Amino acid sequence: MFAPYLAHLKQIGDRLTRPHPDLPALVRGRVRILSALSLGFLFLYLLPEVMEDLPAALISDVGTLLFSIGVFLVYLLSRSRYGRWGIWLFLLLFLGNPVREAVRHGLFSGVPPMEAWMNGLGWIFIPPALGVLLLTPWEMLFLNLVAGLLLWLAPGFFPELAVVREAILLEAFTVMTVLLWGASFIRHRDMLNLIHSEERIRQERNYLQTVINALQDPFYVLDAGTYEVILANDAARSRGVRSARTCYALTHHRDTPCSGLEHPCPLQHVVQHREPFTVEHIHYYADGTPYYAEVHGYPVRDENGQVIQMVEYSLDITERKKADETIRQLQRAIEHAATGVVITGTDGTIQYVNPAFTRMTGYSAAEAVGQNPRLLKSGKHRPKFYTALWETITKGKVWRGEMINRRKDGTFYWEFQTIAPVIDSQGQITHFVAVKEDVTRRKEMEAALRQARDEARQASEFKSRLLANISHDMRTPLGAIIGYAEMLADGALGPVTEKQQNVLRTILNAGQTLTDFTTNLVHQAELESGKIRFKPKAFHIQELCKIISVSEAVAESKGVQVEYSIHPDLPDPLVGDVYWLRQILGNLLSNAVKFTDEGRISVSFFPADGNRWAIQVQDTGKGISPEAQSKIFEPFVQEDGAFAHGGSGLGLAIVHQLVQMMGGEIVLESQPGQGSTFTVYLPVNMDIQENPQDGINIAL
Amino acid sequence: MSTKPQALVIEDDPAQNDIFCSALEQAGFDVQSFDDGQAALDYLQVSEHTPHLIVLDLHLPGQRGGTILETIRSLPHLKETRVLLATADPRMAEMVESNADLVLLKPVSFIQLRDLARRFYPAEYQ
Repeated sequence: MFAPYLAHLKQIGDRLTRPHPDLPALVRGRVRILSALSLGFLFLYLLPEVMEDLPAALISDVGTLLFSIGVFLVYLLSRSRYGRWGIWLFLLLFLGNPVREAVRHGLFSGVPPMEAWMNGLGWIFIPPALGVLLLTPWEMLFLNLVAGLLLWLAPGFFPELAVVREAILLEAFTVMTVLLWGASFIRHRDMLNLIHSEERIRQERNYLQTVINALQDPFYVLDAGTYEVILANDAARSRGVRSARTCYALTHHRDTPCSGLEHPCPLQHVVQHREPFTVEHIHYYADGTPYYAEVHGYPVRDENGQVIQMVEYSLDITERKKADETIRQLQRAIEHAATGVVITGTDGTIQYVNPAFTRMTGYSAAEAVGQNPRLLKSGKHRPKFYTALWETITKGKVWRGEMINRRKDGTFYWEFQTIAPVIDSQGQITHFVAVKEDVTRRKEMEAALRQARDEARQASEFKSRLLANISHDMRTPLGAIIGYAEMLADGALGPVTEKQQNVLRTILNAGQTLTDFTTNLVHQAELESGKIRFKPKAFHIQELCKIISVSEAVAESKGVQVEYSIHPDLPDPLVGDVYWLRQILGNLLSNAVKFTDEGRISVSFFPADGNRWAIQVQDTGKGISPEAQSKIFEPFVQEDGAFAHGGSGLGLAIVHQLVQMMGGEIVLESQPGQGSTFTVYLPVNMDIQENPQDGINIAL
Repeated sequence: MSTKPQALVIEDDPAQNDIFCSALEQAGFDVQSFDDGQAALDYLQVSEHTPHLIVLDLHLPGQRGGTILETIRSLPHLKETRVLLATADPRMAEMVESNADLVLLKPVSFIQLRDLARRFYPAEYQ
């Protein structure tokens, strides 16, 4: 009933008498008694005066005033680090009490009466008695000797005090001193024992605290009745767990003990079952952050076996939970991946295969695990291939490549593999992971495309060869036709008539046209197959002019004159591939001859802008319409759409392609009925262009 | 020693052979003709046979024209001999140009060959 008030009072008393922490343990207890005593004295001493009239009493009784101030000083000193001086001051105050009594009753009113002295002397026994509480045994003895001396020497100075010697027997005083001294020894020993045991408890508590602080996970002790934290380690405190707060407030942010949660309360479970308990659930940090905790509860029992406390430690398993979740997701991804995944140990023994592997190879997980990937070996690769693979991955590098493997049913398939080593934190390889993709279909398509490309190439080459052979085989009979026609026309086989001459001329022209055509056929085929490679050399323009004579003969038979001029500023020698330049000029000329029935054909060579030179062929023929001009350089196009004038329509197309390949340009100026002018501009330093139709390209 | 300079035609096509022979005869040569490369070579190995001019077809049965040309060039008694090479392959003409005195691309013009032969007519017979 009074317990709460007593506890409250005790708390106030504790607070009023708490000694300075710097004081040694032996002194602390003493000054604590001293501060309590001084407070008590002050209270008791002043109480009667307060009940009378305090100010008047204090003024009339200077001794009381000084004593009260002294005792208050003693209280202050006892609370300070100079507590020891407080003790001596206190004892001195009591020793001086006889003087105070004498002054009080004598100085202001004559000689003090004997009663006052006696009253004062009564106080002199108090300091030795207090010394038992406040002093060490030797200090105590010293104090008693001083008191005894005072008692016995005083009558020498104050004869009135002789009566004291009679009142207090020396023997009695001595006996009291010895008894008090003994009591002081006992008290001192008890105090030392107390201090030692307190020290030991404190050390053990420190030790325990250090041990639990060493744990990196929160560790605390809960009171089974109040749910309050009794003890907590640093890890717990850093998460906000504080003594004298309830566990449900701290870790679950609740005002009442947990109930109805998904998980049982470990404390309730431990109290009920009296055995250790482990549960996983969400806890909260002091700042409200949730974390996944694995909580271990351990019962602390009293002598009756009742659980009074629970030791709890909680492990933050959030990372583990997250890792578990990630692993689950990755596992799911691998299980459902379309690509095969194989995990092997460092010796190559298969430890895991996913369903895609089974679909790809026909081997189930049960069949593959424990085997070596050699299981799939097709025998189509050389041993060196596998050695290189192993060298790569055992060095910690990733191997990528394609290989033929064999399925369980014996069929072969192509796979694209990436094999990567799994390396632990020490840098050691622990596993290999292979990711496999079945590329058989792609391989087949590639092969088909390659075959198609090769066939197309062969067809193209065959065409070129065929055309070359046709051209070659036509030239021999053409030789007979042209040769004999010339012999006839020349009169080598006898005289010919005018009419026969005309026929022979037609035969000759047709022969020449046919010759040109076979040449152009071969050239066009070469252009198409991309076989043409220029071999530029220095040459004189006269070498190129030789070709003019070929067309000249045909032109003259039509009555058309051919003339040529070379500009004096034209570089000499020029650089170029004479063979193909001849083809260009020859084709331009035979084209001009074809379409010119009267007048003349002029060929000129001259330097042009931009470090170029030009070949110009000008005729007085029928000219070319603007519509036809745009298409005239395309193969097999002639202005009138027919072979009316002989020729294949290849000539100009070949010229156009050749000029482009040489890095030049061909310009046509013409108007119907006004004749045509073809000008070919070529670089002086022939820059060899890559053939624009280089081979047949099949994109893979 | 004959009054006319010697010339040789080595050509397997009879019509061409006939035309070449006519052209060379018109130019004033005494013409010997072969339609087989080996026979021509055997003839030329004999050191008394020193034709001034040879018209050689590049594509011959038996012996290839190129081989014949090389043999001619290696024989000391044929050092003065001029060789005109006739071919139907324009590219081949480019390749052997340096070894022959002249390359004729077929079809070879009768007039052109006759004029050429006249140019090669040895001065001592004129």
